[in-house]
Order: sequence, then C-alpha cells, then structure tokens
Amino acid sequence: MLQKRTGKLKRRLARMLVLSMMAGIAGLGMGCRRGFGKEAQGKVKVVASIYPVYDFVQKVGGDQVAVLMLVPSGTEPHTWEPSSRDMLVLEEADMFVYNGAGMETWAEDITQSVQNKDLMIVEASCEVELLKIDHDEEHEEHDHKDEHEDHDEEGHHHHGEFDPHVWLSPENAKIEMRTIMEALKKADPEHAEIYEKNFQAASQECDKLDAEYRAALSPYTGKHIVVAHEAYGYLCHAYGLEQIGIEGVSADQEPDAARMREIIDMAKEYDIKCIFFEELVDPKVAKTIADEAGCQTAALSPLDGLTKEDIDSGREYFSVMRDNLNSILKAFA
Amino acid sequence: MEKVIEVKDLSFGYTKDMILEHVNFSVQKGDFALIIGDNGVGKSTMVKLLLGVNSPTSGEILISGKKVRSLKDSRIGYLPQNGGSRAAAFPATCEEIVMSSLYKEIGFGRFAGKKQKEKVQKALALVDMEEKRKALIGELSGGQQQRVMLARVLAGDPEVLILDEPTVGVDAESVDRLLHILHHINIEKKVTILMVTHDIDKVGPFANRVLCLSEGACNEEALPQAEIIHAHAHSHPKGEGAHIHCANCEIDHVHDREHCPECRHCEAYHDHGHTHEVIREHVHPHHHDRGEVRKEEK
Amino acid sequence: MPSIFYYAYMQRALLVGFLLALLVACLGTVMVHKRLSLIGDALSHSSLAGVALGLLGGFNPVIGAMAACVVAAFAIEGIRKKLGNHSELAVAIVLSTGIGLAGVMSGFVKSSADFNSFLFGSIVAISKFETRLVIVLAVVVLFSFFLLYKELFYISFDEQAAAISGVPVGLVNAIFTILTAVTVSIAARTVGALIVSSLMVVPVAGAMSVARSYKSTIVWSAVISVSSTIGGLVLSFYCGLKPGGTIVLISVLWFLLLHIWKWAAGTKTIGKGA
Repeated sequence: MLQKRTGKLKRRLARMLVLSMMAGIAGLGMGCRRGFGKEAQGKVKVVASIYPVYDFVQKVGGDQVAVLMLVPSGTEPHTWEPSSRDMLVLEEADMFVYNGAGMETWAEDITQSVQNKDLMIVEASCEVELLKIDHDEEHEEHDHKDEHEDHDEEGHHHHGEFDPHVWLSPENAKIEMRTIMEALKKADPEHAEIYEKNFQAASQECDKLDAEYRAALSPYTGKHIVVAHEAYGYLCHAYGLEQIGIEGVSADQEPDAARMREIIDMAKEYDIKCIFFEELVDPKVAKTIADEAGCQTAALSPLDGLTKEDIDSGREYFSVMRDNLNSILKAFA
Repeated sequence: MEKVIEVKDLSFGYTKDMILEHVNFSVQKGDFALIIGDNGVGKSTMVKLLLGVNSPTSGEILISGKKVRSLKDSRIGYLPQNGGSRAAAFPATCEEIVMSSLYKEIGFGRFAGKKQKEKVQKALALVDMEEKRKALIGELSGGQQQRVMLARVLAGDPEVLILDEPTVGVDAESVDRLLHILHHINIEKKVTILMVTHDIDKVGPFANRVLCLSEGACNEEALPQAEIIHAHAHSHPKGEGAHIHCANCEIDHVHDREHCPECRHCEAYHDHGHTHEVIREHVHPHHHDRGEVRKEEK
Repeated sequence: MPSIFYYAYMQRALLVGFLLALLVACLGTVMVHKRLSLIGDALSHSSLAGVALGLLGGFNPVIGAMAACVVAAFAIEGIRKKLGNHSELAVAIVLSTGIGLAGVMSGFVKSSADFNSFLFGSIVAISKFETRLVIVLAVVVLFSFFLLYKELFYISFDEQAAAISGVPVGLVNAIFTILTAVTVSIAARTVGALIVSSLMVVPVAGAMSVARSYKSTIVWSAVISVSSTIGGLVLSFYCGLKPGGTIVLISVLWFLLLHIWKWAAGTKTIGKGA
C-alpha cells in the first residue's frame, strides 16, 4: 500500500519535473528573442554582419539608424554561423551591410534565403581595391632555406581568392564608410545631409589615423611582424611592412610543425622582438613560438570581433587601430 | 553422507506471484544432480538463488551447512549458459582466461606465481585443452570455448560445480565430450555437480539425483539410476504455463535476456488485456506425493 | 635539414606525444573491451562543457574541465549499468549531453578565445607546465595500470564473474574511471581532442587483428599508438603536414595494413571463431 502511494508520488513528481523542464525551455526560447526594440521606430533599421562594418554604420548613420550586429561580440567570425533567430532579425530590417570579399562565407546563404523584399543589401568592400591572398610571395623572397613552398599552399587553405580584412587600412575604412553612406542616403534621403556630415567627420579621422601610421612606421619600412593569422595584408601593404602569419588567412587552424619551425627561424633571422596574438584566438601557439625564439607576445586586434567589454568601455575602430600601432611600434623598438 | 546443498522449504517470487514455492531438495557430496523442467519454469531462478544472486522470499539454502549470501565466500564453481560464446570476442589466450579465476588466490594488485601457472595447466589438461593453451579463445570452436570456460571454473578447485544449460548451443560431439569430462571429474575428483538442463535424454544416464520442476519434462525412463524429486511452484501444462511464468521474465528479462525464451508469449498475452490473476484460475492442481516435496495449491 | 631535436617545442611534442600515446593506448584497450570505444569523444566534449562552466562560474577552467570529465565518466558508468544490454548507448547519451551543454554554455561565454583555446589543444604548442603535468600523469596512470592489470583484465572479460570472484569491481572501476577522465581532460587540452579520441580506439582495433593474447593486444596498441604519434610529428616537421590529422591517419593506416596482412595470412579474425 505504502509502496503504491510512494510510487504514485514519484510518478507525479517526475511528471512535474518533465513539464517544468519543457516550460523552462519554451520560456528560455521566447525570452531570448532578439530584434529591433521600440527605440528603433522611425530610424533606419540596419543589420551589420561583423564589428568593423557595425562600427562604420554607426559612425556614418549616427542617431538616424538602429544597428544590430549579427555575429555576437567576442565571437570569431570565421567560425560563426547564422541561426534561425538571426534570420528573423533580417526579416524586419531595412538594410543588411556586410563586409564581403569572402569574409562572411555565410553572407550569400543569408541574402538568398531572406524573404524580406525591401531589404537593401550592401557589400561594404565593393569599392575597395582587393589584395589577392598570396603569402608564398614573402617566403620566396626571404625564406631561401624553405624547400616546402608547395606544402604551404595546401596547408593554409583560404576561404576565398582575396584577403577580406580590408578595414585594417584607414584608407580602405574610408572607402567602406563612403559605400555605407551612399546606401544610407538612398534608403533615407531625408537625412542625406546628416550622413554626408558624419562621413566627412569620420573621413577626416581616417586621414589623421593614416598620417599617424605613416609617420610612426616610415622608419621601419620592410620590417616583419609575426601575427597569429594573416589578417594584416592591407595594413602592411599600406605602410611597407611584411607580415608572417602563424596560420593562414582563416584563423581556425592548427599550425603544423614545419610552419612553426619556419616562423621560429624567421623570427630569429629578422630579430623580431614580439609575436602578436589575437584576442579571439588561442595565444598558446604564439607563446610557444615566442618562448622558442626568445621574444615577447602582445595582442594585436584584427578588429573582427571586439568583446562586449571592449565595446562598453568605449573602444571602437580608431582607438583599437591606435592601440595596434603602439603594439607594432613596441615590437620594433 | 554429507549434504553439500540443502534447500529447505524454499519459496521465491520477484513480485507476490511466487515462481518457486515450498521446494525441498538436497544434494550430497559426490552427486551428479540435475534440475530439469520446461522453459520458463524457474530453473534459472533456482540457480540464481543457489548462487546467492537473489535471496529467497522464505525458506533457506545451505551450502555445506552455511547459508549462502553471495558466491564470494563459498566453494562453488559456476558455468553460465552460453559461457563460451561470451568470451569469443575477447582477445585473450586460454591460459589468460583460466588464470582469471585464480583471482582470490593471487590477491589485489599482485601477480600470478608458479603455483598458479601450474594450476592453470592442470585445469586445461582436465578438459583436454592443454594443447590450445596459447590459442586465442576467439579462434576455438564453440565446444572448445565452453571447455576452456569449464577449465576456468575448475582451476579454482570448487567443491560444487553448477552448470546452467551447458548442452545448449553446442554440437552433439562436444556435448558428449563435455559430459564425459564432467563424469570424470565427478568420479575422480569427487566434485559435486549440479546441472540445469532440459536435455535429459543425454544427461540423464549420468545423474543420480534429479529435481524436476515441471511434470512434462520428467521422462523417468531417461533417468535410470536417479532419485527423482518433484517440485513446482506453478507448473502447468505446456503453453498455458508459459504465460504465468512470464511474471518471472517480465523482471528477470531485464537482467538476463537469454533466460527467458517465452517472454514474447507474455507480451502477446498482455496485449489481450489479461492479467496473471486470471490465468491462475485455469491452473490444474497437481498432487505429487513422491519424493520429499509436496506442492500446495491455493 | 634541421634536426627535429634542435627545437624545444619539438622536444616537448615528442615527449608528451610519446607519453600520452602510451597512456591512451593502455586505457583504450580496456575501454574498447568494455564496449566504451567512444568514451574519448564523450569525455572531451564534456570537458568542454566544464571549461564553459569554469569560465562562467569564475573558477579555473582546467579544474572545471577535469571535474566535468570525472562527472561525465561516472555518469557513463552509471547509465551503462542501468541500460543492461544497450550499455553502449551510455556513451552516446553523455556525448550528446556534453556537446549540448558546451554548445549552450559557450553562448554565454563572453570571449570565444578562452573557450576555443581549450577545444583546440595542439601537440606542437605545449607549454612547460603542461609537459610536467603530463609526466606526472603518465607515472600515475601507468603505475596504476600495471598494478591493476589483472583486475582490469578480469573486469573487461566478465564483470559479473569478476565481482563474484571477489574483485573489488566498484573500486577498480572508480579508479579507472577517474584515471581515464583526468587523462582525457589533460590530453584534450594538450594535444587536442582528435588525437585522444582516435588513439583510444584505432590502435586497439589494429592490435586485435594480430595480437595473440590480451597482453600482446596492449603491447601492440601501445606500439601502434606511439609509432603513429612519433611518425606524425616527424612528417609534420619535415613535410609540413598538420600533426593531429597526420597522427590519426597513420594509426588508421596501421589498422588497414595489419588487417590486410592478417587477411593475406589467411587466419581467422578475433570474434569470428566458432
């Protein structure tokens, strides 16, 4: 009798547990819905793919736009994938801005599957003169001992023909912002003047940044920096530096032992003082190389995903670019 | 004579439906005893009780005068059903497998010595498998595997050897060979043997004592020199009996699938919405006064 | 041609690779015969959930990983007993739970850098601290394995019979579960989950086709595992191949070659006897 009763109780408890778990999951799902809030009313609703684009849209759009970033802050964009929730956000947006040039491998899927016919799709890098991915060039020039060039080609697989990290040179940032400005003007002609004014301000800031970089780096033309992944092609191209990437252009790979050896040898040969790692990529490999080559490590941000703390503490494109400049200078000092 | 196994007024059921009721039975030193009965009649349950895996609902089982709790503190060797085939996928030699039974002798965290190695050789010799001692168990035939498993049990020098359906799943020649080995160790080594089987035509001639758990299975002509003891909790004419004993398999099945070949009937039966209680009314009362056991019907 | 031993990172990779390959092969032999082949995957994913928990809860992620691994390993043992005939499902259930938890919790971790660095340990980037940790681990695990060899043999052969014969099954299983969990959590962080989960299974599968006893199964597994690791590192160093993938592929190659050899020799395969 008693056994029967406890059995019943148990069953009831179990049922309650299951039900409450289901309710909890449902509640969690509803609570998590992301989207444009009330404050977005009357503004241009823009969905930006990654942080640099998001920041540029904010700089140009100012108070007239409500921007949402698709790749959450602090996430490595190479490994990110959109969820169905992200697609919903796009359905209610006016504009989708992405960097392009192969950065967002998923962008094409998104733009094809979205049903929002009024959605304006903007590829920010469309006016930028793209650099081809070609890191073998550097090895041929400098690494005369290297018998394994053909392996490098296989080892560092690329996700596109071009280096997508265009925003890392201030000049390109300006071009991207102009493209965004044009798009905003088209979408919201009423406030065209404001966009134009915002862009001019940002553009001047870009020129200033460019001048700072030029002045600071001109004594070091032809020098090498060792970075976690080869994201700094445009920056190096603009200021006459050479980058040595531990990994390829994509950041999500494990290095091989031969590449490690090459970099260690190069670091010693070029008397490199600092190995750069990225905030969003494991510094273990950079540290191992630094240990071996007897140099230091420092963070160098490719800006593709600032953490929430960074954004909250007021870091943005220009301040991060200035921090990067200081880090690079320390490596040469 | 010394009683090695003594079952006194034993009753057992997983639920309130008894599988075995008021069983009295004893095995004496040097016996070759059998437990026979139809499928699902409670033979394997009986073995589990003897091994101390399950405890009786009432009554008691004494092994050499002591109550069984678990096998750890008795001198019983046990060869489970299909004992050989379970080992087939394991990459070990016959020697390694036989050695594993000497665990207690060697002790926790220690290694086998010369004495243990000799014991292993002897046990393998006893079952005619000395030549194959370095062979992988998986490369042997079913009958050979079974003999290795028997050697494994014998290496521990048991006083009583309990075998569960050793004739199932083995070819006829291997059965004959096994029975002769068992006969040999029964006579020469004075090992008491208790075998669960339904194959009385083959095994019957070797047995001197039989516990018969269901009427139909007890072909007395096949048991020339045996003392036959009838006991049944709820044995019934074939077919119907199977239903009831599925009360057993319903639970038993979870632990030991192969011991309940009749459970499919059981499920079908349940599908028709009957209960075990209903079937009980169809039970034909039996009155067997022979032997030491009388079964009481409610 | 530069010497492979000239570089400290390669010295560490070779040493740590050797030790972990040895450990994982030993543990794997037992796990495969307990029908828990995928335990390496399950535990490494669970350890990732532990990392996320550590990052969220503000305690050391390495400790979080180990704790999660131990909990997951015991969960596998527990579920395995409950499921009886379908005990292999226990690993799948824990594997799914681990992936699920890690996936959900990673969403709450602010910076994916911390998180990913625990997922992608790399054999060519091992710190000095990790090297010391692996040496200690190797001594403890190999010593326990040697000491409990007989018990482990008996338990993986027939757990019930072992219990009946007086093997302290619960204790031995618990020790072994903890050792496995700690090894997987450390190894996943050090050399990567791929190497751990593969070397736990593939060398054993190769060994079983040629070994003539249980002891030689372990020896063969260790030989295959260690040679694959060293071979993979050498190839990676001289030919620029990815070390993790190369190591795993060499062990698979071993498996194939041994099976072909066995087949050509015309003898029966284990498990198909009778």
